[in-house]
Amino acid sequence: MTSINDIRTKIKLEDTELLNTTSTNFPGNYPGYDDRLNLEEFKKKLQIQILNLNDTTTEFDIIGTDASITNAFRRILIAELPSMAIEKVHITENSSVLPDDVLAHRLGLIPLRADARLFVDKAPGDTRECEEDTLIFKLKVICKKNPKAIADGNDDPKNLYINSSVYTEHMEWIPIGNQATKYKVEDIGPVFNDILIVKLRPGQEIDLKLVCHKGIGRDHAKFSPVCTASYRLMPEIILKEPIYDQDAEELQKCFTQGVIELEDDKNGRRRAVVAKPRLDMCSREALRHPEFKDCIELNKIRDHFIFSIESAGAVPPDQLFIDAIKLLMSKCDRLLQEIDGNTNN
Amino acid sequence: MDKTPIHDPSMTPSASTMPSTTNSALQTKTMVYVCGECHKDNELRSTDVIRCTDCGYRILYKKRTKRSTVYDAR
Repeated sequence: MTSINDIRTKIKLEDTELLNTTSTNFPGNYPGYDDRLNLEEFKKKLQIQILNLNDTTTEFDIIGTDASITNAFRRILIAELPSMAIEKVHITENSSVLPDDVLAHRLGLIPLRADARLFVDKAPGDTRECEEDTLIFKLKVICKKNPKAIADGNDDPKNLYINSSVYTEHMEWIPIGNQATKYKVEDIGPVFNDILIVKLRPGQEIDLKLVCHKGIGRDHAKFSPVCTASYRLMPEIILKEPIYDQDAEELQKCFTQGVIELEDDKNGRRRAVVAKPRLDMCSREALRHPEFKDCIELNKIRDHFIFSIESAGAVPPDQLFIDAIKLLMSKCDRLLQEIDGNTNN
Repeated sequence: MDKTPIHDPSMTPSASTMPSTTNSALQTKTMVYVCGECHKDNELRSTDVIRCTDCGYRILYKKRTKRSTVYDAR
């Protein structure tokens, strides 16, 4: 028998189905529960715990929100935060094996190390190159035979030819206007210097001007500032009765490594305990075993989100999340203004 | 989105920046062709035999235009 509180707060994993997947905590839905939206209550309940954070990735818990809010953050991170990307490619020479349009598309996907917050959006149809909205790179590489090639049967193109591979390190930033004083050289450029753009052979050449603009992921995925931004729900594993020795080992194998640990109890038997439910990938393998089916319960906690952000490299992930919060706030402000405007009329 | 390459006049090399194709004013104008076999650049005058000076191959190609074309990186 599942209690109302469990239905409200947990998703139950059965062997063939998932129960209580949708939020039901609406005002008036359950007797005895006050589900009215209350800012003070929300502030008290909301917790954010950062598990790890570095320059490119972060994982943190958001506890006490509805999926709609967490999902809004995820969608804003992917599709609405701006970043810089190559948008126009001026091709003067391209004798490589890649056709011009394929090469241009490929260049567009290169992640750039430039803080989009310091730039302004490009007005549509504006072809001028202003220092506030445009970054320019030059990419001119000519492949030649290497006169100092070691003739010992080493047919590695890197030995035989000079510039046989064009990498992002060949991109040269051309500052326009006061950009040279505004930005440091190490602040502008591709995120990685070893991204292969195209391969050349002697006599082949590319001579390109790359024009970068600011944009958002909704327009094109290349503008998305994150590689992934995703969340999953916190798993909960309940052992309804103690499981010992051989069975405990079997149970341990049913879950992701590290989820179930074996503990020596005072009678000298090894007992299964749930160590890190966070690591579980929710395979539900244990429910396939008849001996475990009735003595374990698998749940997911509906308001505990494990959020992970992987930045494309221009802006650290913590800053991205703060920007996402600010963007959601400004959207809410705008909605409130619209409502106020309509009620006043 | 317009996928066709647009000609950008600012990127067109002016006459002064074009590489000089004549060795002296007295000589007739030469053109550079690329050998279809060995990819060598051949400077040919209008009276010359159409033949690669290096390998003797008789199919020569014109070089790509020096005008720049603009593509959308999408």
